[in-house]
Amino acid sequence: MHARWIIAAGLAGWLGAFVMQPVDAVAQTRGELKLEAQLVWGTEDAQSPDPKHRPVEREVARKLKSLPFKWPHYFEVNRRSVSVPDQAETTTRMSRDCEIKVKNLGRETVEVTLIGKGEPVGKVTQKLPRGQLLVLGGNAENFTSWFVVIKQTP
Amino acid sequence: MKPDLELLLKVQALHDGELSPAEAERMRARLAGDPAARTLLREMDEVRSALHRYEAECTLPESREFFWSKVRREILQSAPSPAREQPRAPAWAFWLRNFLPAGALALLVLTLIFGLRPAGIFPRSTAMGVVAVETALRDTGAVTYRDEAAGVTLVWLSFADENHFTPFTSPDTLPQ
Repeated sequence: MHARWIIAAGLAGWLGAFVMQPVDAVAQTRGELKLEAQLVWGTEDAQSPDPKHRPVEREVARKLKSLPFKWPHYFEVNRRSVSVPDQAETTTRMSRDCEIKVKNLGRETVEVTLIGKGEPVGKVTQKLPRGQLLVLGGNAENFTSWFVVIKQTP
Repeated sequence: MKPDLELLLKVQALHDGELSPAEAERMRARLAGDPAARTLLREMDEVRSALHRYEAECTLPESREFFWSKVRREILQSAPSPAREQPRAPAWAFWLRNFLPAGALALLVLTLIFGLRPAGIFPRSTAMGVVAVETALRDTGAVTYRDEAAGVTLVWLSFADENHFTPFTSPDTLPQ
């Protein structure tokens, strides 16, 4: 009986080494990352005071609403397309005071540095596969909120 | 002295009322002239009265039928049930019985190998939703929240100038 368990553990180890190796190889594919960054304003008001603002797309809104926040409405303030070659870094201005610096670390991993008024505020390193969102956020005036939503373009 | 067995039986029969009237009459006549027989009869009377006096009276708190039905039910319940005929195990049961535990262990090992790789040792750790956050400013606080189902990673930053990130034309929200 013990021998059977030992054999099973050994088999599992070999399976892990050989079967999952190609997955690693695929994941290590390097290339340019095409991203989309949105500056989003979260509010309790159904209408934004700025007529240039428009509600965020439905999928992003759904995901933002799934977060544990009170704001039911999200407006897109700005949207930027970002292309980052492998191991390169790109800086994109999202608003007058807000910039993001995105570094492509390979394997769909990004390092995003948030810059406020020219000063780095925070740095986030995260795997960002297609369909997933990386959201940086904070408080804004009048109990509203700002978000920088980053995702891979389809 | 050894008692006369026939006398003993006759006295016993008289005492128990088992003699015919004629025999009982003859026996009483004999008792009148036989002190030993009278003594024997008196002892029998005393024994009977003593037994009647000290016999413990046992009463059931429930009816007789109910009491015995309970006894019967308990006997039936405690009796071993007849052995059921075991269905013949299918052929694959052998493999299931012998290799299911091994398979479960193999799955566990796989999960440990590929699910718990520590960050910094294997690059693929970032694929497991591990997020690394550094804050550059001294007064910045960061909270990370990961919703696997929605595929969202949120990093919530708190710092002094955060209110100026979204410029608005409304007087209420316009930065001063």
